[in-house]
Amino acid sequence: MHRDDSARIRLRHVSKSFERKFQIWSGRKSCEHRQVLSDISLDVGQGDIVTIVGKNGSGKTTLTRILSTLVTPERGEAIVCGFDVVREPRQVRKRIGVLLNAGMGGFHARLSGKENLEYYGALYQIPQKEAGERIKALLADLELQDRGADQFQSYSTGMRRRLALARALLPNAPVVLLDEPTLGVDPWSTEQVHKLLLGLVSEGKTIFCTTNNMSEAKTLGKHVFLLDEGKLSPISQSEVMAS
Amino acid sequence: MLVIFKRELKVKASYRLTAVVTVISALSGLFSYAFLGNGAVVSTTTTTYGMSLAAFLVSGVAFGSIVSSGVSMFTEYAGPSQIEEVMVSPTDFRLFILSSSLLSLLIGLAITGIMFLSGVMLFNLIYSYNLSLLVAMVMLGIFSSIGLGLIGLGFQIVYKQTYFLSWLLYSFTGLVGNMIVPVQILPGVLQSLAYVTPQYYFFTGIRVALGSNVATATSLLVTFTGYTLILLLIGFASLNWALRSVRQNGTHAWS
Repeated sequence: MHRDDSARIRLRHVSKSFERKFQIWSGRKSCEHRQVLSDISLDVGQGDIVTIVGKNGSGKTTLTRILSTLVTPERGEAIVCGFDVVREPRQVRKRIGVLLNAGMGGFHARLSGKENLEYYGALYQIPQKEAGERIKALLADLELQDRGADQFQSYSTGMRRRLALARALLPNAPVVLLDEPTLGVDPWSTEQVHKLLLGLVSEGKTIFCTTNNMSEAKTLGKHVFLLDEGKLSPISQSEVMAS
Repeated sequence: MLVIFKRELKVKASYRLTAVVTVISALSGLFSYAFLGNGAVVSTTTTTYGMSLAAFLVSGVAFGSIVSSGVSMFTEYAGPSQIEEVMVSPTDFRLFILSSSLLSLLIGLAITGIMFLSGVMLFNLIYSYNLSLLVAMVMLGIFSSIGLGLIGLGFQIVYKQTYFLSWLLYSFTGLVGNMIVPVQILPGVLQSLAYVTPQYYFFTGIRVALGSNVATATSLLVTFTGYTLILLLIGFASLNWALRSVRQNGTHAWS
C-alpha cells in the first residue's frame, strides 16, 4: 500500500500523560497523571533530519515510542509516511526502522551479532539473501565486521549499541527513529555513526533522533528542537552552536 | 541488616498473593498424596478407566508435558528484553509468539512420547490404544494450552507476572485435574471444581483413549472441543486487550 504524503513524519497536537505509580504502602492511589507531552506539532520531510534535545524524563522517549506505534497518543494524531500510528500501525511498522532507548535489548546473548540481525531480518520480512547482504554492509559501516561472528554476550556496551543501530537500519526503511543512538558509544565510533546517518539523509531517508548530547545535536542538527516539560520549541543554529 | 530485611519484606509484601498461593500450593500437594493413599484409588482406576494405578499415573505424568507449560508457554518470548523490539517490526505479534513457541511444543510432545514409551517398556504397562481419539485429545490439549498461554501472556503484559494464574491452573488443578488423583475419589466440592478445569477433560480423554473400558468419548470430545474454542477466543481477546492497555500506559518493558 502506498500513500503519498509530503511530510514523512507529521505530528498534530499530540499530547500524552501517564498514570503515576506510587511507592508501595504509600496509601496513594494511582489516579494522578503526569503530563509528558503537551500539544506537540511537527513536520519532518523526506531527506530531513530532526534532532530533539531535552533533559532526562522530558518526553523524548515517549515521542519516539508514539512514532514507533508502541504508545498511543492521548490526543492529536501522529502520521508516518501518510499512515496513522494508531489506526494503521502495521503500515507504519513497514516504513520505520527503530532504535529504542533501551535498544540493546532483544538480542540473544548466545547468538552472534550476525545471527541476531538475521533473526530481525526475518521479523522485518526481508528476503534472506537481501538481508544477508544488508547485514554484511551494515556490520562494515558500523565497524563490527570483525566481531559479527562473535556471541552477543562478548560485546562491549558501545558495540551492543552499534548492533542495535544496525538493527534499526536493517529494514532500509524510509523513516528511521533513533532514541539516543550513540549512548555509551566511544567518540571515534560516534563520529562514524554520525557520518553514516548524514549519508542516509543525503540518500533521502528521514531521521528522527533524540539526544541529550548537545554536541550530537550540533553535528546532526539542521533542525533541532528542545523538548522541555512536554513542550516542543525550535532551537536556532546559533543557539545550538553556542550551547 | 535490618534495612536489607525490611527491603525484602516490602518487595515480598508487594506480591501479597504470592504468600497465599505458597500456602495453598503446599496444602494442595499434601491433599494429592493423601487422596492417593486412599484404598479406593486402585479399584477406581480399574473400574472407571480400565487401567492399573501404575498405568493411570504414568499416563498422567507423561501426557502432563503437553499441558504443563500452558499459561506460561509464551511468557519467555514476550519478556522485557525483547517485547518492544518485536512490536515495532511488521510481523504480527501473535504470529511471532506462536512461531517462537513451536519448538517448545514439539519438545513437549517428544518428552511425552519418551516418558510414555519408557513407562510402558520399563513397567510392562498395559493399555488399549484408541489412536484416533488419542491424537484428537493431544491436539485439543495443545490448542487448549495455546488458549491458556495467550490468557497468561495477556496477564503478564499487563500485570508483569503470571505466577497467580499458573498457580490457579497447575497447583490447584494438579489436585482436581484428573492428572494424578482420579476425580472419582475426591470429595463432592472438589469434583465439581474439576469440571471447570481444561486438564480434567484432557486427562480424562487420554485415559478413555488408553483404557480398556470404552467409555462414551463423543460427549467428552464435544465438550473439550467447545472448551478449547472458548479458551482460544478468550486467549486472543485477552492478548488484544493487554496490547491495547500497554500501548496506553507504555509499560511494555518493566526492567
